[in-house]
Amino acid sequence: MANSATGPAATLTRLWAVALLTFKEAIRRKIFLIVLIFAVALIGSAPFLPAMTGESRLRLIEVWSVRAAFGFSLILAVFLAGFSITGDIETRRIYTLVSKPIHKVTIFMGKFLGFTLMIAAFLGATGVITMIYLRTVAATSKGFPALRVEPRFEAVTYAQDPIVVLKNGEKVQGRISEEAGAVVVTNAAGSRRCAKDDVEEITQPPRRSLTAAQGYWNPELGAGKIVGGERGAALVWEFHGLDKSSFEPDVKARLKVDLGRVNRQYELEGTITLHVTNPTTRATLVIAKPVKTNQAEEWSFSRDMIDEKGNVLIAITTADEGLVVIAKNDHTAKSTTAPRAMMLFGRSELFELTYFKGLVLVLFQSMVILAIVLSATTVLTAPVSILLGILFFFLGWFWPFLQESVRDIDVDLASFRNARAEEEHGHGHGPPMVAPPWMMKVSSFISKGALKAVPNFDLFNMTDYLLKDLSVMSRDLRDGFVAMLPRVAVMLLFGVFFMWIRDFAG
Amino acid sequence: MVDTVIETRDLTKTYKDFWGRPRLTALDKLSITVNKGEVFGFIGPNGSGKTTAIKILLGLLFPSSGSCTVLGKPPTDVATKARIGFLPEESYLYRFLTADETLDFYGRLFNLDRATRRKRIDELLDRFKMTHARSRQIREYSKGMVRRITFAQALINDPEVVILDEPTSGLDPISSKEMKDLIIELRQKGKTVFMSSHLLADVQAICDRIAIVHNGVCKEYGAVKDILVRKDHVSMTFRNLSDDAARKMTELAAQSGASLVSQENTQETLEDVFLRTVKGESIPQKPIDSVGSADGGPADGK
Repeated sequence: MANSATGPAATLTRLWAVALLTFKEAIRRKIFLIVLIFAVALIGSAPFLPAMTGESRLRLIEVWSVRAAFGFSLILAVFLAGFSITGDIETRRIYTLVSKPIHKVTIFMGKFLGFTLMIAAFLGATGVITMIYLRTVAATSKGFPALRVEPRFEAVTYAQDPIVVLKNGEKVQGRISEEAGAVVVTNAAGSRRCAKDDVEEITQPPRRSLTAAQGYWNPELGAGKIVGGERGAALVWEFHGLDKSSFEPDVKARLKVDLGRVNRQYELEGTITLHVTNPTTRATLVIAKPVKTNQAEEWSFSRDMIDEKGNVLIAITTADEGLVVIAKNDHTAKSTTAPRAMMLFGRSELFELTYFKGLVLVLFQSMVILAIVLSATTVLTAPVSILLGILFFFLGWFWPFLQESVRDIDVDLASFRNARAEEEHGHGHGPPMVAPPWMMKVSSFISKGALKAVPNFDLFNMTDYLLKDLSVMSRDLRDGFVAMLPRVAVMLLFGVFFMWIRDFAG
Repeated sequence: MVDTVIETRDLTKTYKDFWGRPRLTALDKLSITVNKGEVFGFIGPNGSGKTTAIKILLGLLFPSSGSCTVLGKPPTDVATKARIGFLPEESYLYRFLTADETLDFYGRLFNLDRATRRKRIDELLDRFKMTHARSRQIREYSKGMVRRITFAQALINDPEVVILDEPTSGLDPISSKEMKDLIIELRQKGKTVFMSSHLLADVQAICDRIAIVHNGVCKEYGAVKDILVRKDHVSMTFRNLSDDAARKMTELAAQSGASLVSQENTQETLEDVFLRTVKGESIPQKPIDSVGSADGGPADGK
């Protein structure tokens, strides 16, 4: 007779039934033949391998596997989701579903769950195949690199020391302490006592949160900051909350800077001084390091420099006369002294772990596309929904470029406004405009909306980590998850809404 | 005491085009009631609004105006749907599932526990003589087999109300007969059956009450035996009526010596009523000469 038809438990049972059905149908439709194709193609690459060095072999296998898993999962997400609900409506199977005690919304969510499970299973299968293959190749070929990756740690904030502006106009940058009636500025050049009466003001260059600052140009800071050189000021990275046990006794670090010389923009090499400070004990380690411009330089320091709270400060100053480190953080100089210019590396961990964590990132990306396409099918036809999914994929893929363009437009608009203001005061001419301002405003508005709607797919790009022997860390997973979840939720809400209000004519 | 199972009141559905302009009125102020335990026939030509009405009853379509209730609740009520079984006009199932998996899936939607599902599936497969094919995928089935599984899924929840959209369409005479037997069996079990059809002989044979719709409008509505009675015509059956007497029958019937065996209202077949109704003549234009002939147009099949 009538069964307990309502309540969250009953709804979950039905959700699960639809998810399982979706999963089962995908299996029956032989979707997983793709896994077989994947395996055949991967193993088919074997004849090419002996011609390469061990390192290249590893890279080839990695890149091929990740890209293929990535591409196939996207295609699965777009097409399966595109034809699922529309197919049910077109073949009128939806009638037998909706006439049962299941809400339309449960059907929709069940499909999303089912496809997510399916893509997860697919990615898992490709991962297992890749691992078996990699281990086999590693065991049978000489000179194959050890399959290990290193967790990396980036600074939490990076900041320059405060600047003390004296009444005579002189500026001294360094760490500040106060003594009776005087401010003591300590920097790499030594300590300097400035009488309080002589101090005009003390300014703190803005501290920037690294995640927010990543690759983002703050117009207020200008295009370049010169540190070091005559002033001897330091560029400081602050690391917080490190787990000491995840490091070797000798902490491996990597540094990459742009060098310059006063009155000369580019310098190929020089010596810089690294100051590693334990914030609790104030013990400082000073290391002179010859570096080449814009090249990753390995160095290391003792693990004891990390204090019990997991904090450590690393500053650089220049050691040579007249040498400067260009602390550019503008959008045209991705590789220079940006937050990622200073990285610490933990004890290396198993390659497999990172590979599968990376596949989770790929799953997140697929979920974004899945949510977009599935939600679109509640109002649009299958082809239009699929095209929409592909469009969103490109938006995510070109996200950094789009962001740059938006910034350029905003800068142009700002300079245009400034020029207008000057013109009103009777001097100057506006810069030549490539498009009417209203068009640029509309373009900027739409692009910003698109940037909010889609996450930056760089966050899900595990190839980036693998090729540099970097581990995918829980922080990367968290960043990916945080970028994915709200977008998927919003897309699904759209889908739920349209599913709720629609009926099934035809 | 009559319990109302399905009730519609001025139920209207107007399909609109992309711009929201009315395009077609599929159902126009339909008001019917279906009582507990009866077999109700909903008949009309193709495109008359039968399926639209059924879709509204199942919550698949929202009405433009008017209201309807099934088991006292609006059709979108999820809990009520647990007491309804639905056989769609065409058999739409997941082709890649086996009969077993199909019935199990629909059973899960009703939140039936595993043991109950197994028991019902076994019973239904047995009832529909499909046990031998239970592990084959539905895409390998013949049309008749698919139809049986579709019917079986409609009964997986042992429903109180069974809504059948064209239950006998596309079936061979044997299967069609089985289907009719099944509907009668359902009535015997006390189920309420609401069926749409255009196979009139079937409807006449098994339905208690009917509604005839044409172009979305309900033209006839009531008990089959009442609808089939023409109250303005009388047929008489005589025994030993000579030809001569027959000629003079109207005047002489009383004195001719023939004994009057019966006198009753003319019975029509449902086909007669249906055709007359659908041709747009609720009152016949010319008198019926003899029993069994249809008026209002040539009786060229159905």
